[in-house]
Amino acid sequence: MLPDFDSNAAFIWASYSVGLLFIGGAMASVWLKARAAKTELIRIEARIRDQKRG
Amino acid sequence: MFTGESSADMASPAPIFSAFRQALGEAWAGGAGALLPVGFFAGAAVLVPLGVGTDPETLRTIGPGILWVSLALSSLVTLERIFQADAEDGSLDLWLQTSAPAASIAAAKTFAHWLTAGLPLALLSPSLLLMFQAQIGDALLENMLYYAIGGLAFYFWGGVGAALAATVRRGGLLISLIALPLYVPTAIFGALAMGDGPSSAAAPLFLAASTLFALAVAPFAMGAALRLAAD
Amino acid sequence: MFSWFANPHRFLMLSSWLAPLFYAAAALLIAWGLWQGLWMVPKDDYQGGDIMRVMFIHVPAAWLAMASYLGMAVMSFVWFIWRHEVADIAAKAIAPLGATWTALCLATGAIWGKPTWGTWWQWDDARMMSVLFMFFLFLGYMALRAAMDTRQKAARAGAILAMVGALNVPLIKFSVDLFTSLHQDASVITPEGPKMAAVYLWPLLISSLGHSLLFAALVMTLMRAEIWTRRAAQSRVRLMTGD
Repeated sequence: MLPDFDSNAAFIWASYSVGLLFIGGAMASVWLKARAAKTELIRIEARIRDQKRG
Repeated sequence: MFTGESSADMASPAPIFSAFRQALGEAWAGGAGALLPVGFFAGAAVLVPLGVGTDPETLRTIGPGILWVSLALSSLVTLERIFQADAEDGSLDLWLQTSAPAASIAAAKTFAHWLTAGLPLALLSPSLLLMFQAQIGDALLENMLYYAIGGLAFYFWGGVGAALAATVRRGGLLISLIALPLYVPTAIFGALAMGDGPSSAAAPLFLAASTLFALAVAPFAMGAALRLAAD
Repeated sequence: MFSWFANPHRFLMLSSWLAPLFYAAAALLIAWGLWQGLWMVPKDDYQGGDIMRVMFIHVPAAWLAMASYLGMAVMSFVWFIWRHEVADIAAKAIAPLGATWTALCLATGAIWGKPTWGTWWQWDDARMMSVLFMFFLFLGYMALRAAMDTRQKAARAGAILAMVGALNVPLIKFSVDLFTSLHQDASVITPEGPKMAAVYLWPLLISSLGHSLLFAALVMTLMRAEIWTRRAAQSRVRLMTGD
C-alpha cells in the first residue's frame, strides 16, 4: 500500500530511508548507551552494598 | 628572559614584548623560519600548474584562490607547534605567571608568527600571481593588502585551535577541524574582494571587519585555552 | 531558574517522566507528518513533482541542525558562568545528536538536489554550505572534548570552542549568503516558499515539532546515561578505597 510516486520515486524513498537509518541509528545507540550505563551503575552499587555487609 | 619585574599590581607591558620577541625568534629560527613561506610559495607556484595544467586562463582564474589556500595551510602548519612547545617544556606556566594577561601573551605570539610566515607570503603574492598569468595592471598591490589582512585572521583563528589542542599529541588534525569553519568568512570575503561581482565593492570592508573581529575575540579564547592547557 | 535545573538528581526525576512523554508525542507527530507527507499531500508540479516531499524530512533536520548548535552554545555558556554540571552534560549530549541531524540534513539535501538541480552538491546553495560548516563545528567540538584528559578539561575546552563557534555562526552565515547570492538562479527551488499553502505548511510544522521532541528526548536520555556513568565512576572509587 505504498504511495505511487512519479519519476523521482527512488530519490524520495532514498531520502526517507536515510532518515530512518540515521534517526533509528541515533535512537538505538542512545538507548543502548543508557542501558549499559544503568546496568553498570546498578552493578557497582550492588557491590558496594555487599562490601558494606561483608 | 624576564627582566626582573617587581610584582606590579597593574598589568605590565614588558612580558608582552618578551613574548613577542621570543615567538619572533622561535619562528625565524635563525633563518630557517623563512623557509616556511618560501616553501608554500614554491609549492603553490610549481605544483599547481603541474597538477592543473598550464592553460593561462585557468591559472589566471584559480591563482588567487590557490594563494588563499596556501595562506591557510601555512597558518595551520606554523601554529601547530606554537603553543604545544611551551606547554611541553613548562614555559607556558611561566608566561601565565607574569603580570600580563594570557590573552595578550597569546596575541603577541600569534602576531609574531604571522609576521614571519603570513606576511611574507602576502608580500610575495604579486610574484606568485604573475606566475599564475595575472597581468601587471591586475590590482596586485591591492591583493597583497587583502592577503595580509586575511592572513592575520587565519593566524588568529588558527591560534584558537592551536591553543585548545596544545596538550593533544599530534593535534594537527584537531586544529584544522576547529579552524576550518572559523576561516570561512575570511576566505569568502577575500575571494569576493578579488573578484569583480556586485558584492566586490563591499567585500574589502567585510574582510577588514572580520579580521578586526578575529583580533578582538581570538586572544581571549586563546588565553582561556592556554590557562586550561597549563593546569 | 537555571539553578533549579542544576541539581542532577532533580534532572533525573524530571526526565524520568518527561523523556517518555516526549518520545510518545514525537512518535505520534512524526507518524502523522509521514502519513501526510507521503500519502495525503498532493504533489506540486511547480515545485518539481513528488520530489518536494523530501522537504518533510529535510527541513526539520535543517531546523534542528541550527537550533541544536544554538542549544549547545547556550548550555556551554551557562556552564561557563555558573558551573552547573548538568549544563555541561547537556552540551556534551547535544553534540552527537546535533551532528546526526546535521548529517541527515546534508544527505537529504544532496538527494533532493540531484533530480532537482542535476548535482549532488551545490556550492552555490547558502543553506547547504552553512549546514556543512555547522557539521564541522559539531565534529570539532566532539573531537576536542574526546582529546582532553579529564572531564573538567573537556568541559572547559568544549565551552570555549562552543562559544567561539557560536559567535562566528552569524558571520559564517552572512558570508555564505553573500557568496551564493552571486550565483543563485532564479529558478532555484526553495524549500520554504513565501506563499506556502497550508496543506504543505501543517505537515512541515508538525514534523518539525515531532523531530524536536524526539531530539529533546534523546538528549535527555543521553544525559541520564552520562549522569549514571559519572555516578558509577564515583562509586567505583568508593569501592576501591573501601569506603
